[in-house]
Amino acid sequence: MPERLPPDAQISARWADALLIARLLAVGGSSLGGVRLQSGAGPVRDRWLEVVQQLAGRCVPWIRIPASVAPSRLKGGIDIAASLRAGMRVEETGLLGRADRGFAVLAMAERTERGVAAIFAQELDISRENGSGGFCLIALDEAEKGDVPMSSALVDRLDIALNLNGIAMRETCMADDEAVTRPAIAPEAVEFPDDLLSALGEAILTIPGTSMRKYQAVARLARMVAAIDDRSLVTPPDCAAAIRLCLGAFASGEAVSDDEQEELDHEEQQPPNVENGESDPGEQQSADDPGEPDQDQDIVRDGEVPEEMMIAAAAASRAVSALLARADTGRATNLARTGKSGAMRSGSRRGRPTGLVNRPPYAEARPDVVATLRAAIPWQRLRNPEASGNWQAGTALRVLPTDFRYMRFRHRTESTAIFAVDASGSTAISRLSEAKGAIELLLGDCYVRRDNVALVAFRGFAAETLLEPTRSLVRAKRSLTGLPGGGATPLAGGIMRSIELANMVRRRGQSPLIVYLTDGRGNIALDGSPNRERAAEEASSLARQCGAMGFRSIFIDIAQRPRDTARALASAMNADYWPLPHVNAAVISSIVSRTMRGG
Amino acid sequence: MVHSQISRMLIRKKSERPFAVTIPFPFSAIVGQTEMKQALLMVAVDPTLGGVLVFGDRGTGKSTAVRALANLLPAITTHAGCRYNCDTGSVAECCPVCNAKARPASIKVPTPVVDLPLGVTEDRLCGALDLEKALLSGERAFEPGLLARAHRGFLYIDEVNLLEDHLVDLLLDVAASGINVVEREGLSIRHPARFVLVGSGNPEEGELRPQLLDRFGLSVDVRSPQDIETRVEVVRRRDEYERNRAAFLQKWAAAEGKIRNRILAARKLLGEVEVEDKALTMAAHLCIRLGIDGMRGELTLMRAARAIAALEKRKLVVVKDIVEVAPLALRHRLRRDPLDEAGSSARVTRAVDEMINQTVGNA
Repeated sequence: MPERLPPDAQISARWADALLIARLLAVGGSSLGGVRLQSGAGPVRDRWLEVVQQLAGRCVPWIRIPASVAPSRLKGGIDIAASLRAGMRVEETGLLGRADRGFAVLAMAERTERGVAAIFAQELDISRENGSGGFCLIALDEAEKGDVPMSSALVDRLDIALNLNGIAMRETCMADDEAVTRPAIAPEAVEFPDDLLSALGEAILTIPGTSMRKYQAVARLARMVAAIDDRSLVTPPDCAAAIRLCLGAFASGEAVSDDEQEELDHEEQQPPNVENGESDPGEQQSADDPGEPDQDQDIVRDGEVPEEMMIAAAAASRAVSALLARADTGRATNLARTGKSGAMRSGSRRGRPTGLVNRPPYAEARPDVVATLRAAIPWQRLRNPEASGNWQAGTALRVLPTDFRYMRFRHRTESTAIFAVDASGSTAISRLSEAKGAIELLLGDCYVRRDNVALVAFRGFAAETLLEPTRSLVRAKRSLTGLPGGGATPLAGGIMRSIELANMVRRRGQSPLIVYLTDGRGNIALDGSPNRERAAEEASSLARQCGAMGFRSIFIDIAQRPRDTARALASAMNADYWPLPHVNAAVISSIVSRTMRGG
Repeated sequence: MVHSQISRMLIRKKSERPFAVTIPFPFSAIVGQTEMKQALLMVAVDPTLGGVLVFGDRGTGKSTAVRALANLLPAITTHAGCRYNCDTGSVAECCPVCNAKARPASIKVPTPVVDLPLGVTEDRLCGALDLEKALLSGERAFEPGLLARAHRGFLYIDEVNLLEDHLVDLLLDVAASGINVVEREGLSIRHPARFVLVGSGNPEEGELRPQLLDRFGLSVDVRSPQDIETRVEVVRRRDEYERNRAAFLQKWAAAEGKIRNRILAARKLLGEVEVEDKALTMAAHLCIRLGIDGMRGELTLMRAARAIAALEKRKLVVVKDIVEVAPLALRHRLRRDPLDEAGSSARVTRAVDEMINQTVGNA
């Protein structure tokens, strides 16, 4: 605990929290599921891991798992080499089995494939359901802003979130005692006052995007915090600490300062709704639920709850929701895609396996070991008659080149339609809503073929990505409600952002299609200055770049009277040019859909 | 291979499969989520209804409910050592244990629940060549997969919308036909695999293809409870369960018994349940009004209504039953209209309301 630290060390409150978490993990282990450790690789993270090991005791299993682990290694399976030697089926314990009653450290958790993440999630559920045994997962999340975030299925199941980014090495210290012993009071025996539990529930309900699992996690943590402090009753500060640890706020319990709060309130104001009645009320509420709506009212209304309890809980939740609103952590849990490799790979070397072939599908293909052995095994009696029925260590399996089997992959190219929409004053707001309509129609159609849609809007002085590539109609609708319009036309910025997005899509192995909806008349240059000439120059040079990079694009000219500038831009980017003064969602969607299918 | 590595390997016999032995959270203690519980009870009464698709927020007790329900159901009878969960009455042709000359003793095992991980391979799912047999005797034997293990029980897939398409196709095909056909590696096997498929997922992470949606019998939308009392109650009960399992299970034992008896009684009654003419007409009109293609919707609607009636100990399906199950059975079969903002459930309810008003008006 913080108060037992050596006085000369200047320990920040955040490191004190980190130490508290280490202690909780050492005591609670598998019952907590684990921790999402957001931190770059570095000495601070290493030190924290060392503290956990020290507190948990050195004899506790500590298994480090790489993100690229094969699912079969996680859960264990038949060990072919040993089976051959032993002459009977030998199963090897999976990595998770070896981490039983200890820790599994998952390196680069954000790069874990979703299949592997699902196995972790499942095993965490099982170990929690069983009550005893199981493992504690320390997921090292190194995702930075803009990266694909860690699998949300996994994040949801880890009770603790710890962020070590920004802690300096000199702020840290080792724990001052060796392995912790089990607290005198078992966490299960700690009393949780009922009114406090409901106050806690109320506080958590005000934090948007938290699932029921997190509420349970906070309750569990609060009890454990009390237990390691040798108290048999949960107090409001315990709850505040639990909220902080569970939801990853690093401000230690204190509320956000006033001006920060103001800034937040300001941010929370919704952008002007372009179109009313676009979303149904329920959806809207959950999407735009501001951080802490009627915190004060709650306290007043709930007379029986001791006021200080409410305040402590509310302060913590306020701090958390402030953080969630500002940092991208909140978004990260909503974004569902998990680590896909960013490397460029081509052709049939990736994708889903479609079957085995006995000829290499491409030059440097490697044989599939298990399949090759499977193919070889039935022949062993013939090839090695003296050994049959008498397998022992050292007996070699006779594998001939004819046994080689290769996995063949079929790579289904997914397309991603990137809409770059001119949302400036020069194009009417109704067009924007038609673009939205087109996106929704397209998604409705796309999800049959599993295509994605993204949206870049440019207005005022910059372009922004309003919708990351997604296949989900629900998410698209949520992002598109309240799409703001009006202002100047930063066309060059819009083209640039679309190219960036298209590059990202291409790196993921999908083929991008950019759909521009604009009149082609930009008046803001890339640096944000209102310079019509430079803007036009930049736009055409970016258009050429877009064409040179070989992105397929469609240019829908939405000007009342189409001019040559737009046509010239379209031809520079090798785009299909469609003058369409009366924009209509159905027409756009059919144009795009046809292009996507054609390619 | 290094010695330390070898020592880590466990040599296990096949029969010693690691099963979770602990008793899961009681079904009756699950707070709220009435629609999901209702749907699960219905498929427990009539497994031929097809699977249940549960779509919605994370952490709403989807997998807890499935596990709890399976635990509630009576144990199934099979032969000791059988890996196909063969019924003692009718055994699978390919089961070496049950077809042995000396029939093994019959035993009771709990209703199986198989949790399907996303990363599962086709081999693991359908079964593949048995390596051990192939190694030892050069014999081509079949090693049953997860589908065999789920026979007569539940197959639960979390995040079914993220599962590889070819696996979903395969699963739905087996679920519909009740038979797993394996044609690979020179093996030609077919064995019964009748299970209740429960798929769950979060629609924000991608949706299922409409062709697949249609194959699920029932569909449920779940949301995290929004009122504070319910939320607190959820955590309170879970907390109680985690702190003292024995006492908690004891407390809910009577309620669990009641539900079990209700399911068993309904199963018995199901064969005798008739459908009133008015209800039949209502179902047909409803499907036409909602523009649902094919007969599958209507059939499921009828079966679901029958299951509900049986659960309520009635031998006649009335209009009220159809109204009750219409959202469950139809909402995922509507043609998607992205520009219609009202959710599918609302559309079904609206159509039902209109129908009722009409009938009242005519009468």
